[in-house]
Amino acid sequence: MKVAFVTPRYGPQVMGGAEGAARSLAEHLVADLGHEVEVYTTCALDHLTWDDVLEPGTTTVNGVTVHRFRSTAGRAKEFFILDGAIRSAPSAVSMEEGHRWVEANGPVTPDLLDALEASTADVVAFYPYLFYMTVHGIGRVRQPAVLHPAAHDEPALYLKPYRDAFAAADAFCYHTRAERHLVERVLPVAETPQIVLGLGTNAEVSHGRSGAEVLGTGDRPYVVCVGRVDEQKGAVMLANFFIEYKRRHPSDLVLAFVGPHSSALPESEDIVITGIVDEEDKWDIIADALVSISPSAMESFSLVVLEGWVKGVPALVNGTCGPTVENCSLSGGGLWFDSYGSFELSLDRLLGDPDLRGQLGEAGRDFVRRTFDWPVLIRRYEAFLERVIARGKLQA
Amino acid sequence: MSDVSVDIESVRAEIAEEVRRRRAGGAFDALKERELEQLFHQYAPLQGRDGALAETLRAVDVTAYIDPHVPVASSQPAGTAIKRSLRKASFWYVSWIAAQVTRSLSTVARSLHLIDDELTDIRKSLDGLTLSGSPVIALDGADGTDAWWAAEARALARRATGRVLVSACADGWLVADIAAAGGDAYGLDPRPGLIMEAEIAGLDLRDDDLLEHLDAVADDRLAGIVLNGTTEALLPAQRRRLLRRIERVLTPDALVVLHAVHPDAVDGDQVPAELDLAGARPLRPTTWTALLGEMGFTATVTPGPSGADFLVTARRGRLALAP
Repeated sequence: MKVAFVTPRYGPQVMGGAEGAARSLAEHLVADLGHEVEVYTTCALDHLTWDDVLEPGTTTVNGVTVHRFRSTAGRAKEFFILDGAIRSAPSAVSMEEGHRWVEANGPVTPDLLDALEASTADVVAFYPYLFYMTVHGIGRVRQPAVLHPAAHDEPALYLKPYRDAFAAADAFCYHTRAERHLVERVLPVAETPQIVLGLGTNAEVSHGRSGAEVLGTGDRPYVVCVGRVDEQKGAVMLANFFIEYKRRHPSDLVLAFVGPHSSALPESEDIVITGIVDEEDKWDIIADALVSISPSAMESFSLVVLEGWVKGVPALVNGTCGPTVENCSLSGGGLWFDSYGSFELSLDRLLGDPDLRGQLGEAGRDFVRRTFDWPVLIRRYEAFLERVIARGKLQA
Repeated sequence: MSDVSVDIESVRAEIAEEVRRRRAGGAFDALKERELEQLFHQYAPLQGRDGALAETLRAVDVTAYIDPHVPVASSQPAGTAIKRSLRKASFWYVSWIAAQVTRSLSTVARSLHLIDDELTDIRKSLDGLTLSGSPVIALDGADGTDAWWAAEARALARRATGRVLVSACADGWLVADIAAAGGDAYGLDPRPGLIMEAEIAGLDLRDDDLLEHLDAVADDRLAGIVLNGTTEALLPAQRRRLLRRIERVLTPDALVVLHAVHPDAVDGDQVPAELDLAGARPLRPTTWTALLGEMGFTATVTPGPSGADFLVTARRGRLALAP
């Protein structure tokens, strides 16, 4: 089987997110099952600008053939004005205005689309729904098209161009049931073949150091938030919640943000921001955390919550984020908060009750083993793709 | 499975109760809490989890107040002092504008609450007439590959010209049969735990309610529907809704397979209690024939061997003419 992935960024430099998920699937299809996989992507690494920083052309990354194309436009200056304008009533925005938003969001990649049309793959997987190459590419490919929406309840999902893009998909691959329910609540695509797959966690690695040693926080206990340190990911909210928590509950406790830093946080001697760290340091930090916090309301899966569970660390997640709440609920591995009050009380309960932390962490670990073990997961994905190919391109 | 498990809902309920108690006792600084709530809701989903109106209203409430105290923190030298001076100089102006905007937004928020109150009253008055979530009625021995109606349903469904939806699909036996014969089918079953194994094994099965699912299906997309044990407990309004949805989503040459309890059997012991509790009455086979006839279907009725159930197979378009 030959599979093509279409994703706006690709490579080991891209941490987490939909693009990281696409890379995991691509590499496991090659390494575990011996399939041929190619990727159509841009030369960008920065999702805020989409600037071309990598060389265009074809290379091989961990056995996956990667075709990179320059974009003719990145994130437009007018994007944030447009984005503000569509927020209150996105479903009422015209098709033309919707396409303007898609283009302003970037990256605009006509060369990528031309090359994709000539692909000899048996199936094309678009990951995620949000970008130009999905909106304009999914209806153009000759092969069956699988859409991995990686959708969350954001204004863009309601824009008209996405209605056509979703309708052109021959199958969907969702991260969670919550994501499927969201998509089906917004778009009439419930009859389209689908699978709820999720993602596997990366292999645990370690430098053998304690988390506190990596963080340089001495013997202070800490809670951790792994992922982009970004206002839209809830980092600013979490920092403010934590500062208030510490004001009301003085202690040595530290909050460690682990990930690329793109939003300013309020300064506090109780908050540490590591920036990008290698995988070993990340796992070492997670392993010794008391609680793993996911403050983002905009997740379609959140691998970092699962990584906490791999290490037996309980989760505390944003209660308005359906997918992370679904995983906490299904696993019994974490709590969720929907106000400052419930954040404070949940964190207090977790920090003050080691038995509860241990039980939640163990339940989470068990859930990951049963559901998101890579050998099981990648075979399910392979069988799904084979069924999609066998069914053929049925969409008009 | 782990042998340690925590009742997450109980822990969360205890936490929620404690939050209520502390809030009522004034343990939280109301102004600070409002500021933090605004941060929480800034990037919350449009309609809250599960589309709850209460979540949206809460977001409206916390964002209705416009704070005229512009932040003055700065990373630049003397930036804070400059910003503080600017804030002081313009405060009368900013606060006048902010007060008007807050008044306007508060009026809008109040109106939304009044609408919500009205909707809540209407919902209460309609309690018991919910239009989704009707139970599946499964007769013992009348479901599964060996059921008396399975072969006929299977044979017909295989002739569908496109995708077939199987309701109350249980472990997906009919979906698997259709797929094995080269057909294209998927299934729904809202009963807890029934679909999980077959879903992981690769069948396209979902734990969704039939009526809600049909609402999310595009027009003219299904070439067939198998209604197994999903019509008996429908109230009249639900049944009308089901028929309207079926008419909308089925292709012109679609087929319908309906397996249901016979109304004459409802007082018998083999009919599950869910039917009593639903307060609904199954329709007679002839009534289904007439209803489907109004939608352009040619229907055939096959009574079950015990008389407790029956099968209706209905076809329209080219299929209706086929032998």
